[in-house]
Amino acid sequence: MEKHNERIALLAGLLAAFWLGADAVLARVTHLQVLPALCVYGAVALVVALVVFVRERLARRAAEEKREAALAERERVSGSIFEAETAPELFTVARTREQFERFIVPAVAPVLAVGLAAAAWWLRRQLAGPAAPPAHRLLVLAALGGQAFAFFLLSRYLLGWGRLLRGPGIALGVACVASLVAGAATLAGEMGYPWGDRLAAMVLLVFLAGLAAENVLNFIGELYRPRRGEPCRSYESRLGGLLTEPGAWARSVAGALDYQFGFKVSETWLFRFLEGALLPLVTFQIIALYLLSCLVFLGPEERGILERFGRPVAQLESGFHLKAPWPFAIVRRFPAQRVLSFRIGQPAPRGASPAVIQWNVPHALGEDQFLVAAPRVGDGSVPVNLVAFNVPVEYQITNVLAFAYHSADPGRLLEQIAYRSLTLEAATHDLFEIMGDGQSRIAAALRQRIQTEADRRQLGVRILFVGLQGVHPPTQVAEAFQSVIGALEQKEAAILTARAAAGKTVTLAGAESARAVQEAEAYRTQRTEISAAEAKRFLIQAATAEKSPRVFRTSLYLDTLARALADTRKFIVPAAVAHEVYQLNFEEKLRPELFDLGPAVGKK
Amino acid sequence: MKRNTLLLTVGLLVAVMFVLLQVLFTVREGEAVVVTTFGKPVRELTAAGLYMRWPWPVQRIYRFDHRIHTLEGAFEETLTRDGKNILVAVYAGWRIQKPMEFLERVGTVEQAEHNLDSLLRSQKNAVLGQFPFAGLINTNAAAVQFDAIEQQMLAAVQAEALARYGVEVQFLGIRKIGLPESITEKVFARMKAEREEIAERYRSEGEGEAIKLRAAAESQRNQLLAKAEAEAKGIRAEGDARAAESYQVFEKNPELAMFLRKLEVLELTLQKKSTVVLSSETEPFDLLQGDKALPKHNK
Repeated sequence: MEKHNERIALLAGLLAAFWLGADAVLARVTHLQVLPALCVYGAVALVVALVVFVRERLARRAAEEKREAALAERERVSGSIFEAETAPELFTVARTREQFERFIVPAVAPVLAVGLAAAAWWLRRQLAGPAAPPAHRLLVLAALGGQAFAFFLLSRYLLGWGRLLRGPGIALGVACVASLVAGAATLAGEMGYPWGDRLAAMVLLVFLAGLAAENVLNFIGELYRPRRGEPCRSYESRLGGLLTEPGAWARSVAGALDYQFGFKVSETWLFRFLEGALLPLVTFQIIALYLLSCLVFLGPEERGILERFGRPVAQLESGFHLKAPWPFAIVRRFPAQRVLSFRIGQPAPRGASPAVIQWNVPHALGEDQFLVAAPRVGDGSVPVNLVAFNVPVEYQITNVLAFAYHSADPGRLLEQIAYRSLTLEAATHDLFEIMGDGQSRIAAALRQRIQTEADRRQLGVRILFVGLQGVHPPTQVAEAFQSVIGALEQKEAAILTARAAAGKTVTLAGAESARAVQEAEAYRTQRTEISAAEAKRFLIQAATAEKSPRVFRTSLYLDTLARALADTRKFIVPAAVAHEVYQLNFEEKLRPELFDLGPAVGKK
Repeated sequence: MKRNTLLLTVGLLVAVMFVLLQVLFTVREGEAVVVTTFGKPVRELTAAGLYMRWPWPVQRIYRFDHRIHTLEGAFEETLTRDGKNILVAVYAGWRIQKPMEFLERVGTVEQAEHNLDSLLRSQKNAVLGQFPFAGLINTNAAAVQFDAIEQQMLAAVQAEALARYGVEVQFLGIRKIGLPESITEKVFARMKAEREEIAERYRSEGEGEAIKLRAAAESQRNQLLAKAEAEAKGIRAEGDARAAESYQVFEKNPELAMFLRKLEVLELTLQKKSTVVLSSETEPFDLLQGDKALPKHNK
């Protein structure tokens, strides 16, 4: 009997390990997405069972050790005369147990929390990726049935024994429920509902995340719990308790509160009331939620199709409507009043458009380039150019029935039609017609072409707007296009500069001509007038000279000499002294001296 | 007791719902359903409504979207009849025409699209190889043969798709045409060269026009100056002629005229900073010689 708890915990661990291995193999073979999640539940049960096994084993061995010590004590007292001093043993089982209880057991909850969170994250990534088609569902179904049954039996057995065994009992119970969920999903897949596998995997994943959070809370609660001799059971899941003992939810909560606060919260009237009223309340809530499916509220932009047993029976306008509950009647909603749109050539811009949009700066990632026709240059060349478009297309649903039932994805089909129409329009027009004056004409033709094709495919839409926006040469050649404009500007600048220079040259030439003529005229006038005056003066002088020739001439000579020599340096040398030689210094002096003020005197 | 009754009612309701879900099923508008009995397809339904069946595992239902699916093919390189490499992407609209065959042959829409894509690719390459490049891109819209190419592809794909997979390809269109990357680079280079040629032409035109304007202005300037110079010379000659007429009076007394002229020259040449060496016999400096210079009648 002493080893019973220990053995049953070991059995739980072995059972969990066996099914964990089996689930892992099945997951690899069958590609069912729910099985990896199920493996995590098996791993949790294995860890908890092993911890409890060690606890039970240490407890048993500590008790044995204590008994042996007591026996040895008695023998020593009765059989010895001289008592020898004995040192306390350092490595006893009791001490090991104490250390285990003190450090290892409280650490189980945070370790489980981290492990569960990591597993949930890994599973989420696995679910986000593509999944291989599942196989051998019936085999899995049989295995899961056996697993759930084994877990159920052992779980119920464990829950009926001591407090410490509740932990593995709950863990196995949770694994049992997870096995049932996985089995139901596998069955659904076999019955033609393959989405059940992924859905069940998601459910198990969410519950795993919940368990991880609960373990964190349990660990924190353990730190602040009053120490009253209760062994630590922070790894024991309350959420799991709700699943394994659904009728005893209140007891589980009350047990948790009792455990946490150290008094019998579960005996208060509030808990007793809640325990009795919860099931009717939850039932009422579920029925009310179900009946809510009879109410339909269509928004201002919406129109609906009422389907009864899958058959469309009415079209619904915006507002409130009543219908039979699901699954007898359902309403399909469409944003029929809203202007819907998509873009061709460029993905829809994220955020605000840039303030300046230039050809040589990429507008968006993944810009499409369309081939446009070009005049043939030579026989061997490909007569095409490339151009980038940004064409927004706006449309509205006009026939909800056609939109809903004719095409599986009418928006996508319309986009394909628009792409085809644009490709065709581009293929038949020259680059400069598309980028230049032909834009509005081509946009109108494009809209008409898309509308015609959409009507032909019975899409039930009306094309409201097709805009040829952002038509530009590819970024790689945009600078070459811009350089043409630059060259045109250079041409204009060169002509204007030359024109300015020419204007200046001609104007200055005119002025210079005028000056030359004016100077000539002045010269003529001067010559005419002065010569006339000189002639007149000469006549007068001649008349005067006739009257007194010598006096006139001498007087005139002397007057002239006086004026001419007034500001000159004059050297007067004596005449008629032939043997004398005069040396005259004509050097200019930079600074006049005092003696220079007088008349210069020749030096002998 | 009351609580047990409630639980029993809820349990019964759930059980009834489960049984109903097992024996009844709906076919929605736009949906095709195939019913199998022990795995053998026995019935196909495309009309919307409520139907009955044997519960699983006797009968099982497979649902398919019976509306038109859009398949978007890859942007794939191929050759035209005249040996031009091009990239062409096509799209196709298809629907499940024979649900039982569809279930048996392909089973899922994804698999059907995978198979159709292969079929479409081979037929696309075969058909495009029969048309010249000018049938795809041409400034003459009448020469573009999109419709003919699409019809030919559709005809080739339709029969095979129906026979092989139980699906009907209803329409097909050329979604996009492009050039391989290496050719695209060459087209870019040619487009750049075209632009450069135009730009250079503009620059040359500008320079040429400027030279012409400058030359014209220079010519006009020279003409103006030449005319002005000629006119000026005429005017100056006129002035000289008039002066010569006036100077004829000097012939009456040439000696006096020359004397006066000398005086003028003397005055003009002896300007400032001249140094003059004069003899004491020069008038009036002869006065510096004392008595010799005095007038005789004064002695």
